[in-house]
Amino acid sequence: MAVVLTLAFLSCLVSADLIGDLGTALVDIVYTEIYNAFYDLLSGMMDIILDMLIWNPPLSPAYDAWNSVRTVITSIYLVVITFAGLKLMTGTLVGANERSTLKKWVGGSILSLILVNMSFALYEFIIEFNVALSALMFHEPPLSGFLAAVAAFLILMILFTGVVLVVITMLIGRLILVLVGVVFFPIGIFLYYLPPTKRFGKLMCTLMIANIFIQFLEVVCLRIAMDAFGAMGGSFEGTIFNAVFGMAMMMLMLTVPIFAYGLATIGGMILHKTTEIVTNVIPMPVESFRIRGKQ
Amino acid sequence: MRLKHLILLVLISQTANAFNYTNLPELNLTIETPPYEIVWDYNIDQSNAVDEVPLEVKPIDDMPFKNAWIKIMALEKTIHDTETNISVASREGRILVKYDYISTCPPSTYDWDRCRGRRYKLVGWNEELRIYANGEYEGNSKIESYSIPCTENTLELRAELYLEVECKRYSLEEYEINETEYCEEEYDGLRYYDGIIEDSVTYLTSDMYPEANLTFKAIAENPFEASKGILTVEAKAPYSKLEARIGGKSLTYSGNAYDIEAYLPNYNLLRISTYDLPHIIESNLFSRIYDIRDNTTGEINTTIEFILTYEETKNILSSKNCEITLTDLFQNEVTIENLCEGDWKQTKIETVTNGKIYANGDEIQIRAVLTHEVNPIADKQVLIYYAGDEFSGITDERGMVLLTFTAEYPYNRIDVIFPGEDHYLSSSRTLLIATTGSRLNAIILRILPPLLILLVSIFGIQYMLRFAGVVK
Repeated sequence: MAVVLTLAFLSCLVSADLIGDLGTALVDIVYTEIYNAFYDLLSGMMDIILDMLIWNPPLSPAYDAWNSVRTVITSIYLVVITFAGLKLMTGTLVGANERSTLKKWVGGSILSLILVNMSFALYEFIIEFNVALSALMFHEPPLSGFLAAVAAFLILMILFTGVVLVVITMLIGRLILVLVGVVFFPIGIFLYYLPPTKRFGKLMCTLMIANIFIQFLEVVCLRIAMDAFGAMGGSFEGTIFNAVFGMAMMMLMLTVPIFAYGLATIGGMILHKTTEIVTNVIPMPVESFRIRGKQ
Repeated sequence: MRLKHLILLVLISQTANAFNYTNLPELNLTIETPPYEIVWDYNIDQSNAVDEVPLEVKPIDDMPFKNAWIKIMALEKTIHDTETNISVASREGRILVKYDYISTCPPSTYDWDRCRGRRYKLVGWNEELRIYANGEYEGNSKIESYSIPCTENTLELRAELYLEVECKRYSLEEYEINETEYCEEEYDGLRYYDGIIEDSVTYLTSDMYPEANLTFKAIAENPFEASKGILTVEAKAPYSKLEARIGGKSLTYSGNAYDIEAYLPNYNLLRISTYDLPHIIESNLFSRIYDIRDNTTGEINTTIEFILTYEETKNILSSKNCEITLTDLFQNEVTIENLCEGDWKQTKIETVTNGKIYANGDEIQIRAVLTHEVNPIADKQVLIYYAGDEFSGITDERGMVLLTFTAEYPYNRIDVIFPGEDHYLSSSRTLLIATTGSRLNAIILRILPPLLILLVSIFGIQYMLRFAGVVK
């Protein structure tokens, strides 16, 4: 294989020499076009990244779908509550232990029912919270210097374009998930308050909330990177350093979702702790379910 | 051959093969210098080798010429501009003229029956070729040098062939001998006849009269940023090469390649013509270049948009070394220097808002301060774009503009722009705010971040205390 490739390249060298300066010029034309196309693509994509860092999709298009899901879940709750109520009314059919469990079920279901019906506004509020945090941290990152540095090396520019493309794909995926999330959020709450599906519901809610806060974490990540670069920039003005730093920054942005899910888990732990403290003071049915679910 | 050439050549050839595109045209274009000498020598040889009337020439039969023609066959330095269909020539060069004729005397008018008429006999002739360039006599050779002053914009070449013939004239004379009439030819002396045939061609001279202007759109003031600039070059005639030197960076560009085409079919002479092939000959300046051609006037406007890193910008602004060299189609160079002498001032916008979190309908107050370095810039218009609306204000003596508008949910992006004016370059700033649908949400959102920080802190402290074993 190596021999074939060598021969192919050697024959190309010969042809290239025969073509002479016209061939060189033609190649230069193609090369320049490719170069400019990549730079345009990269500039456009960097603008897209910045736009996506400060934009969230409006939730109104998903309202009807959310409403349908809410109706279905509410209906299920009505069946659960009616069933439990009937069982409680005909108390002779159940034992004291089961009666206590049913009472907790009903309590949990009512809280869950309220949360499911509020889930649209709640979800919207979480997004607003994410935007508020982002707004507090956002500082427009001037990226043109990195672009100019990267443009000095075609290979690096192609690589950089690839990485930026992946970042954009990730951010687009996030936006889609944010929009779809409003429909799945009530399902997550519903599953969370059902003891058998509690873990699955928790996972769903964590993923959806983490997905929303990816934006904020990206803003933080960019801010830290730019501040760090600003601190070093005085001594590192070299083009290669800037290009590599830009590339590293994009790579860092790619890892943000992993951080987001990690931080969501920590956030979940904090909430868990907070709920534990609150419910120790005011016993709530949800706590009983949580403990039961754990057992 | 550079690696990029090799790689792309492989790609191009493979693509061509994949599409079975094997009938590639003959690559007889030249890129750098038009091959004037080769074409000229060929044309001389070819002109001598063929001995026919050129196809497009109509021979003249007019005393003292018969079957006469004269033709300016070729010029040493001329290019046919295929875009404008105009030929341009250099102010100095050589001209190749070819002619042929049969010298003749007036025809015989003898009428022996009536014994009238005359007859002529050619005894000698004298020819003189005269070459004129813009009316000035240049010489009398078939290959003649010419030159015209720099002040003249057109070149009119005229080749004249003057011919004088010497003819003996005879007349028929009657005389009587013994009442018998006789008719006899008598020598009537020498007669001289002359005439001129000519050919002329007109060319435009390749006067570029270039004008260049370099301006920056943005100047990088730290390594985060890049400088953007535009170099425009206007030339009245096409150039063969444009070399731009901006600091240590340079770019060499050509809008044309040169083709060789045949003309005058039975002689198959050659001429050089331009071939529209914009290409960068050499460059280490990151730029985009394009030119616009006015095919009626031949004017060509070239724009080079370039991008520089912070480091490069610093070098250029300190050295102020920016110049262009334009080479015309005949390798004459014109250089324009000191293009970086402009007093550009990169502006900066700093903004402060009366908050970050707004409820729908809240008042957003934004204070933008326009400065250059630390100096405020007064009396300049600053634009603000928010929720599809444009707001504007004029900076006061502190460089400050204060604008107030209403928050609209869910719009959260504010763009503050100074579009640039005079030598002050444009600058902009994008702000992110949070807008909420209700006032309650806004209040909660204002409380939540510090609360979150508090919770995280408590959790962290608790965790650390546990880790240290202070509490269980």
